[in-house]
Amino acid sequence: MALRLTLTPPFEAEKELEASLRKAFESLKPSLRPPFSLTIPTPHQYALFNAAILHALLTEPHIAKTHIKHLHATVTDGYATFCTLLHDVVHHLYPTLLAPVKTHLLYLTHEIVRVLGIGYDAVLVSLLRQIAAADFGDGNLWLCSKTSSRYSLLRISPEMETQLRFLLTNVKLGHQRRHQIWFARKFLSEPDREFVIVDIVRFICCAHHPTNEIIQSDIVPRWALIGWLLTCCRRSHVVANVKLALFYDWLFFDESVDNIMNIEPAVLLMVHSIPQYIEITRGLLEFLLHLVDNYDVERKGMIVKGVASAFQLLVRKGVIRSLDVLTSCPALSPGLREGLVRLSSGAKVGSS
Amino acid sequence: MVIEGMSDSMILLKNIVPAAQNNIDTKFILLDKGKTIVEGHNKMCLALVADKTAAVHFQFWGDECDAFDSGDIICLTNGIFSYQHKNLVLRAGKRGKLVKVGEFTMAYVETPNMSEIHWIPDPNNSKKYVQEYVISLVSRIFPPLPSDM
Repeated sequence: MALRLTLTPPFEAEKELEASLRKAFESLKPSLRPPFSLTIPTPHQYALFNAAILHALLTEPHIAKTHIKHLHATVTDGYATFCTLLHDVVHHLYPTLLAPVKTHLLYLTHEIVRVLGIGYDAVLVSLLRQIAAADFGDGNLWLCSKTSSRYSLLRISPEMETQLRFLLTNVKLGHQRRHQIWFARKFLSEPDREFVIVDIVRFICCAHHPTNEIIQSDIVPRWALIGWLLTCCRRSHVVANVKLALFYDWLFFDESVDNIMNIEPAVLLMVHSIPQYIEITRGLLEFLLHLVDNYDVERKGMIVKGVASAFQLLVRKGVIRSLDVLTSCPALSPGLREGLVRLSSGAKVGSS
Repeated sequence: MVIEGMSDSMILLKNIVPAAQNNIDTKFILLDKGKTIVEGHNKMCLALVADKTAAVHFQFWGDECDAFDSGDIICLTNGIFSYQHKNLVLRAGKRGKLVKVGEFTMAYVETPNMSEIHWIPDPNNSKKYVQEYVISLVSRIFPPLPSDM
């Protein structure tokens, strides 16, 4: 009976990937000991071998050297098949891997990087994504210290990504409360976890662009999710960073190279918060005006131009009919409204 | 056991009918759990579960009570939908089995709620039940959450 890769609690189904690796290992186990066969495997046998040797490397560390030699001797595709499997294990199973299995997996990753197996970068990126932001457990710190600074840290774990995309694709507006509660319970329940909200907002703005079909349907829009995430922040500097994440693509916006989908959620959140959540509109506008003045004083001209062209494009493309809904909103102070008028026309915004 | 999607024998919650048989194979997401109650040797916990067609009250027994949490996607095989302590509930029963197959990624509705329907024996076949009237559109024990942000 093969050793397990993950800790599967009672009542939980074995994951398909783990089951297929285990079955491959069990069926090929006798042939994983020397002497090794010299016959050329068929494509099916080759795939089975890769799955079996991966399972063996993760569960039989005492003979890892034998398995590694066997792998090096048998590989005929630059480790592409093996890397794909390794990536899948990281992507789907990493959070639930038994501690010793995690260690063997990291050793294995080193080995694959050493031989520059095809797809080793995808394996590393997948590992990096498992470093949940602000989770200072030993495993994560170990990964951090091994990380090459060449790789931009993708801080949204695969599970977060799956849940966020599901919310924005399958859940109807007005019926998202329970899913939000589950998401917050899983990813935002500890005080330090709220820093990840900054990354989540970047992800929503830049990495998840719904289709027109979804936008026109009753599915939860991105601005509504971001509005909720703002309410999840307890600390004011986190709120400020979340707002910066929301307006980041506005700062040097250039419609010839930048995507309108990155700037759409911010304006829709401001507009749809009128009148019931007017304090959100107010807070966001105040922040934007303050940001333009203070983000990069030397490049203020460029920033004003960027924000103005962002507003103008949003109106031109019909994301909002016009800025009147904001500039004529009686619940907003005259100063704020004037600041918005000047900002959206590209004129320099004086300090208010 | 590895389960994906729905197999042929699985039914949607909107199609379950009270019966004395453990013949229900279905898949749902757990929306809310009530308190676990201990009665002698028995541990039980009432819950609200749902799929994209309907919701129903589910009765967890014994070890099941602590094994599942809201957001879990669960496959039930050989379950039974019948009256227990005056509640019409879906449960695994002695012959049934519950397996968690995922989390979060399932859409659901909270109406109709099959437990909040008044059923009567079919006039043409007393062994079967039919819907007579709706007691409540949604669960009275686990009402829907208010839908603001």
